[in-house]
Amino acid sequence: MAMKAAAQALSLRGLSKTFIEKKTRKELEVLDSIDLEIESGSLTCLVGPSGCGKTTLLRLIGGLEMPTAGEVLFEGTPVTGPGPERGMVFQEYALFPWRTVLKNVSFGLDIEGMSGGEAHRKAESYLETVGLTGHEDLYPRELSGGMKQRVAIARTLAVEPRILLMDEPFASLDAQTRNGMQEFLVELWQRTGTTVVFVTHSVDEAVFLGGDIIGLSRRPARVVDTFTNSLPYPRSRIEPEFIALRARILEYLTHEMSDA
Amino acid sequence: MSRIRVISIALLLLCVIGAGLLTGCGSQGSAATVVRVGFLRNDMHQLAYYVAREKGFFSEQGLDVREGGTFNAGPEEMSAFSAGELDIGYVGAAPAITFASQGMADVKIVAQANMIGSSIVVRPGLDIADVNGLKGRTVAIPGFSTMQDFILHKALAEAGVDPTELKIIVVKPPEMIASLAGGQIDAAVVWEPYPTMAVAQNAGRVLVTSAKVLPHHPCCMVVVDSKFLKDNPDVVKRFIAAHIKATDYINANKLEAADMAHLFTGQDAAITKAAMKNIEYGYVPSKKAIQSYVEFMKQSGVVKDKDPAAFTRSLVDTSFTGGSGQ
Amino acid sequence: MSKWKIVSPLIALALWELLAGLGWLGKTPTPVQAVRGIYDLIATGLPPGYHLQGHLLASLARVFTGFAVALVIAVPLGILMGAWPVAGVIVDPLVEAIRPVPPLAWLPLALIWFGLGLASSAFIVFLGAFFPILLNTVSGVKSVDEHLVEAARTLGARKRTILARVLVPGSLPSIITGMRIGMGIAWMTLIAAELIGVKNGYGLGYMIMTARDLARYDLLVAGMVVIGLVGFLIDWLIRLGEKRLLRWR
Repeated sequence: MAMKAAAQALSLRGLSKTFIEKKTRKELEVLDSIDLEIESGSLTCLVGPSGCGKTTLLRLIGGLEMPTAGEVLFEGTPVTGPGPERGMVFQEYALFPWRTVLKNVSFGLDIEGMSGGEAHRKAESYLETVGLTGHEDLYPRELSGGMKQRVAIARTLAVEPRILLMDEPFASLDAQTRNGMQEFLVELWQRTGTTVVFVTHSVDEAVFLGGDIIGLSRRPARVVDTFTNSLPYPRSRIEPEFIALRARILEYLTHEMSDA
Repeated sequence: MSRIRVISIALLLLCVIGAGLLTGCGSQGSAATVVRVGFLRNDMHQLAYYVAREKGFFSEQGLDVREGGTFNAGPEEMSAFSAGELDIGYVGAAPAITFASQGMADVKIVAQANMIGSSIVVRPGLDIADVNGLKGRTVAIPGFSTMQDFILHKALAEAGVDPTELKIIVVKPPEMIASLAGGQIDAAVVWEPYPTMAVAQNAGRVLVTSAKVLPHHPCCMVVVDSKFLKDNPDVVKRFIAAHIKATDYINANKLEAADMAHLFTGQDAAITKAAMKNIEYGYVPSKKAIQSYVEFMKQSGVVKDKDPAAFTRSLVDTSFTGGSGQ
Repeated sequence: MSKWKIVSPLIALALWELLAGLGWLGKTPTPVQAVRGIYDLIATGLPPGYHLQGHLLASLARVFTGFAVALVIAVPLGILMGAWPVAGVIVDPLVEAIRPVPPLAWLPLALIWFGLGLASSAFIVFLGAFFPILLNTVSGVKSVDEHLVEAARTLGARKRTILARVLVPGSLPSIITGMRIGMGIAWMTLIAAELIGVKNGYGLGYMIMTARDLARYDLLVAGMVVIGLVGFLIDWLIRLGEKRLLRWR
């Protein structure tokens, strides 16, 4: 029993979320009874049409929002707020502009009270992990989009989260950089073995990255289907199996979207 | 806009213009000469102006006196002279001399308005008998090189006290009373009605009046713009005649004058009545007294490059008041 | 590019010299007389014996004291009000009621409360500087990107840490803007206060008031030039500090 619990890094049971618009007092149902189990060490992608609530789902897991109904269990315990064990990477990077690259990465360590020297060294090593050694003293405004995202990832990794929640982190990047970052992520995941939950609206990206791909419906989001992706890594986008799986998922989603 | 609206507005405008024309015509009367006059608001020393105005002495002389502005302080009024806004003014001797000596205003002193009328007031609780007790104390004057500054230095000189043994600071008269009461200054040299007010409010007592220090010393004067004097000596003569009549009237009707002062300055009637006792109203300027003051100002560096005697001679015109070189 | 900065001041100066020299500006002194006046103020002083240096020091002491007090109160208060809307709601009505009253209007009261010394003028300066600093601090805190706060939370930051390590550095640009505005108002208000009521022998405002009383308009204009220069210099110093602190922008 305990073993099974450990294997389930994340458990979403009947998770629902309804927002009440401040001005009009209208109710907006975003998530409708989501049930999900995510295994420890897996790379899971959540796909769905834009605006379906994927971000809200991720924010609930991250603890930045509270459910209206249902629960989010992380390693067996309910989530009550954000924390470093559930690291988040945002689409907007959210780097602290007044801190250098190195100090951004060491932020989580600094606030833990780690000594300056040790935090410095650890941050250095994570910078190396994301391939940004030599950029320590640059400020975020001096970085390209891809570099910023890598710093953001390094910053989150530095606090050694047990699950990495990524909200369309590569959406603002150009196609080439994006592909490069996807490869980088796969390689990182394989090296560190951290559980990853990756939100995207690009089916292509999901098939490239995900071990499990979870399709979400239009708002209010429900789990439409779960697709297991057993293609071996590293994956090629021109492989027939890749294209086939992609087509399957696309079809399902299109079908889902056109439903009344 | 509707037609009715346009017509009504036009009618309204016509009425206003018409009324303006009518009243304008009315006041212009026969040959009343316009004189632009300046004076200091609420200044009891300049009561003669108010009396002359209220009693009709100016209009008797065929003068149409227009007030050229509201002045709270001498330098303000002198600036107006500098800008050509005034023809004749009641103003303190100090600002008149200062501006004239700097070439900032070209004026002549043609009559006195009052003499004495200031006091050295000490705060309650300061138990000193005379000016000697001011050693090491903080004394406030209304301005550097004012008549009050002059009086203070005279009093100190007579008592053999070195001015550097005091701390002399500048405080504007309205704040002097509060500062005395609050103990932030030990003494103040200021003109009536402030000394009377201070005593009435238990904020101070009179140590010595300026009359004791310097009997009959000049204070406020009547000055004329030099060009105006040159072009209209007759007008100036008539103005001074009215001023003389008013001054005589004050001296002959002290009680009524005190009441008029109360109306003129807005001060409490009891205050003006008591303050009047410390003011002398006279119209003959004393060249000697003025020269003595100019010498003081030269010493303090305010008046430069001027021979006090020559400067006083050029500044003061006693022809209108029949005074000599006293 | 910077060379063009000199053009308009030079033209203005030349115009002033020309018009004043011709007498077209009444009895206004010329720039040359003004410069001689500055020398006079340093060497002889106004009133004689009270040199420019003394006046300058007195005014600077007053403005920096008042400004420092305003900074020390307004910044923490502003951060509080920005981070906790409840605090804002409580304090705001009082702030909005007092703010429209010009600092100078407080002068008579200030003299009764604090006397004739440094405290009363520092109080007037405080009133001038306080509101811009406060308002800019509040808006600075409120404008800190929500994502930054959330990122900090996901990295394990608690409320106090967020305050110190996110809201404060994030609102610093606005705070410094508030400081620049506040200092500008503080300087102007101080000179005006020294003109009207606060004096104990020294002060730039008192100095030019004396010049006016003594009809030394050359010294008056000289004093104005000094006041303008000092104000400019102080602002320049703040901008220098801003560039240093906000290197990351």
